[in-house]
Amino acid sequence: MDDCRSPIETDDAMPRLFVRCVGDREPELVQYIEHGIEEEGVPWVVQHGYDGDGVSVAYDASVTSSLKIGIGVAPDSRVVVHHKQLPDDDPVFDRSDVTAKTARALGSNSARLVKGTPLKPLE
Amino acid sequence: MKYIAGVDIGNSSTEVALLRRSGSGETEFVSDALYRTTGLKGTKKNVPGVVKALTQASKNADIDVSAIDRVLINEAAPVIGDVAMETITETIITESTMIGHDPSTPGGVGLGTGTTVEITAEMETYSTDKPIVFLVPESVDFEAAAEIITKWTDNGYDINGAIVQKDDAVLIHNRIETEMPIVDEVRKLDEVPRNQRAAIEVAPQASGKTIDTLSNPYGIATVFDLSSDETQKIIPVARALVGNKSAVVIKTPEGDVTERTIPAGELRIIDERSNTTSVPVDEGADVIMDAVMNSWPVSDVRGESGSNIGGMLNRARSSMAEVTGQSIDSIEIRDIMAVDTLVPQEVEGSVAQEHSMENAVGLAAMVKTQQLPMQQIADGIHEELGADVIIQGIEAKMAVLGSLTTPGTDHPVAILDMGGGSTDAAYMDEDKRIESIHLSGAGDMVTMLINSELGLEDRDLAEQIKIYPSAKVETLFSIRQEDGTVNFLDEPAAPELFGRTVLLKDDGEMQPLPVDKSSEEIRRIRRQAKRRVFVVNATRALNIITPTESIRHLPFVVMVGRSALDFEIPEMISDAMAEYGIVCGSANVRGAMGPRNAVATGLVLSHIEGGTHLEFEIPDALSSAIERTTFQPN
Repeated sequence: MDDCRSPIETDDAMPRLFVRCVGDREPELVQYIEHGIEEEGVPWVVQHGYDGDGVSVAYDASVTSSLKIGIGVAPDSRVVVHHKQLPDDDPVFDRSDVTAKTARALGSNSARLVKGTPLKPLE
Repeated sequence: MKYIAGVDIGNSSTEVALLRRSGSGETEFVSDALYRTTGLKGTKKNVPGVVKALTQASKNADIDVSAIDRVLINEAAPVIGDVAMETITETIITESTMIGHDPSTPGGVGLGTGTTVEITAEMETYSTDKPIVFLVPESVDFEAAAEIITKWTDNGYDINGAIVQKDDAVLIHNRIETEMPIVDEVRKLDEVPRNQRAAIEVAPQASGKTIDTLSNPYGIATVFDLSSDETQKIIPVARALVGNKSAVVIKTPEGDVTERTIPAGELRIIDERSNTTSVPVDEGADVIMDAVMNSWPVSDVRGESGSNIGGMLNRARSSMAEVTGQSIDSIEIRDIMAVDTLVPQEVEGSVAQEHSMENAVGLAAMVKTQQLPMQQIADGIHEELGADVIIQGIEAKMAVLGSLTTPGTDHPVAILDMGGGSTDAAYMDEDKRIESIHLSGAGDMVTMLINSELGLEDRDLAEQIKIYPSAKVETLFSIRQEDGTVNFLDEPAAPELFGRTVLLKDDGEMQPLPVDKSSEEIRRIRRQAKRRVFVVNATRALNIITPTESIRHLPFVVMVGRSALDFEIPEMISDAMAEYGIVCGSANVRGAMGPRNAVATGLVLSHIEGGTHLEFEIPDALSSAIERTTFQPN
C-alpha cells in the first residue's frame, strides 16, 4: 500500500480519487482509467494490495476519499465506481469484462461525478 | 331523471360537462371529462373523440353512455391557427474555417498561431522558420502525439498549438514541456485545411474568463494581419466565438465569411376598406405588428409565394377550404402575430458543427371562414349514441356563461380564452350582450419558439419544456430547481441524469434534456416565449374587445382555456394586467373546475336557462339553440 503513485506531488491535504486494485498486481486496465481521470483534471492516486470483491473495495475507497467517489478494480477486468452515500452493495457502476475504451470512460465518469458534469455514455 | 351533456370541441381537447335533471326539475352537475380532439376541429372526424369523452363522463357518473338524453355542442368558431418560422439571416463561411465549439476539457492556455501541419508529417519537409500548429487525428495516440511534439520542439521547431480529434487535450498537454493551447474533440478533423495559417486560443482555466482575442474582430485582424476590408468580413466569425472557452480560426488566402440576408418575402395586409399595407418580413416583428394593428380590423393577409410565410399562409388557407368545402378564395386570414426570435443554425463551412444564432421571425396566422360543418358532427354523434344533439350556442358566448360561474365574478366581464391555436377574447356588457374576437398566437406558437430557439427539431420535446419546470441534477441525491432551492431525492438519481438539466414531470419523473443548456437558460427561453405570445396577445385582445378600446375600463378579466392551466402563464398575465388596476385571474368554473370546462358548462347552462347556477337571468338570445341547425330527431 506504500506503493502510491500520482502525477501530483504527494500532499495529504489534496483531495483525491482513490483507484484501488484487488490483489498485488496492477491490472493493465488501470492505466486507461487513469487517462480518463487525468483528461478531466481531477487528482487521483492508485493503490493496490486490497482484499475482497470490487464493490467493497470501491466502497471503502469512496469512504476514504473526501471526494466521496471510489474506484475498485478486481480481476476479470471488473471495474466498480462507488459513491460514499450510496448503500455499500449498490454502486454507481459495476462492469465486468471492461475494455480499454470503457475503462477510460469509467475513469472520466468517476471524475465527472466529482465535478458534477454530465457523464459519458458507456458501451 | 334526465341527463344533459355539454360538449366543447376545441383545437386540441374535447371537454364534457354532464348534468342531471331530477323529476322535480332540480339540476346538478354530476361529472366531467376531457379527451384529445380527434381530427381537425369542426370536422366529422371529431365524432370518435366526442363519443370517447362522453363515455368517460358517463363512467365517472356511474351511468351508461346510452342514458344521456341530450348532447349540446357549440358552434365552433370557424378559425384555425397555424405557425411558421422564417429565418432572415444566414452565415456562410467560404474558403476559411473556424472551430468554435466548446470541448469540456481543452488543454493548455493562451493564444498560438502557426501553419496547420499533420502530426505524422516528415519533419525534414518543413523549415524551422515558420511556427506550426499540429493536427492530431484519431489514429495517433496521445502519448505518441506528445512524443512527436517534444521531438519537433527539440529540433528547433516552434509548435504553437494543436487541434485534436479525440478527447485527449489535457493528456497531451500534461506530457509535453512547452506551454501551448490545445483544442480537442474536433470530429471533422480531416476537413481542417492543411498548410494554412491558424490561430488557437484557450481561455485560462479556473478564471471564469472566456477567450478574448478570437472573439474580437480586431483581435483576429491583429493575428492574421488583416486589412480593414478583410476585418469587416470576419465579424460573423468573431461574433460566433463570443463566450467560448476555446476556439480555432483558420484563414485561407481567398477566405471570406459572409452574413447574408435571405429574402424573406413580403406580407400584404389588407384592411376592411381594401387598403393594402406591404411589410417586408425581414424588418422584424415590431414593424409587422404595427402594420397589423394600424390596419385593424384586418380582412386578409397575403404572403409572397416561395417564402416560408407565404407557404404557411397558403397551407392554412387550403386546409380550411378542405374542411369547409368552400373555395380557397373565400378563406380569409384575419390576424397574424409576429415574434422576433433567434434560431441556432449550423454555420455553412464549419468543421465542428458550430451554430450561429440567426435572426428569425415566427408567425402565427388566424384563418377564418364563414361556417364550419357542425351539422355533420351533430348527425355523427346522434348516429353513434342515439341521443338528441343540439347545436346550442356560439363558442365564445358559452365560454362567458361558463366563466361567470367562477366565484367572485360579475358582468361586465371579459374572458380571455387561451388555447393552443388561438387567443380568444369575449366581452359581456351591462346589457349582457357579448362580443368576441379571435387572435392568432397561443400555445402552439410558444412551442414553436421554444423548439426553434433551443434548436431541438422536436415539437413533442418543446411541448414538454413548455409545460414542465426544469431543474439540474447536482449530485446523485439532490436537484436544484430553477429558483435555486435544493431538493433531496428519495432514491439516488440514475447515472444518466447526473449533472444534467431535467424536466420535473407531474408524476415525479425526471426527463433529461438532450441540449447543453442550464436550467436558468431553459427557464429564460421558456418564459420569454410565453411572455412574447401571451402577454402581448392578452393586451392586444383586451384593448380591442373593450367598448372604449382601453383595458383600463375593464372591471373583471377571467382567464380560461388550456393555456390558463399552465404553471406560469396566468401569473404573467395577471402581473401585466395589475398595471392597469383590473382584477385578472384564472377562472374557477362552477367553483371547482379551475380554468377548464367553461364552454361545456356554458352550453348546459344556456340550455337549462341558468338554473340556480348563475346569479342572473340569461337573455333569450343566449338561451335558445341556434335555429338553423337544431337537430330534429325523427
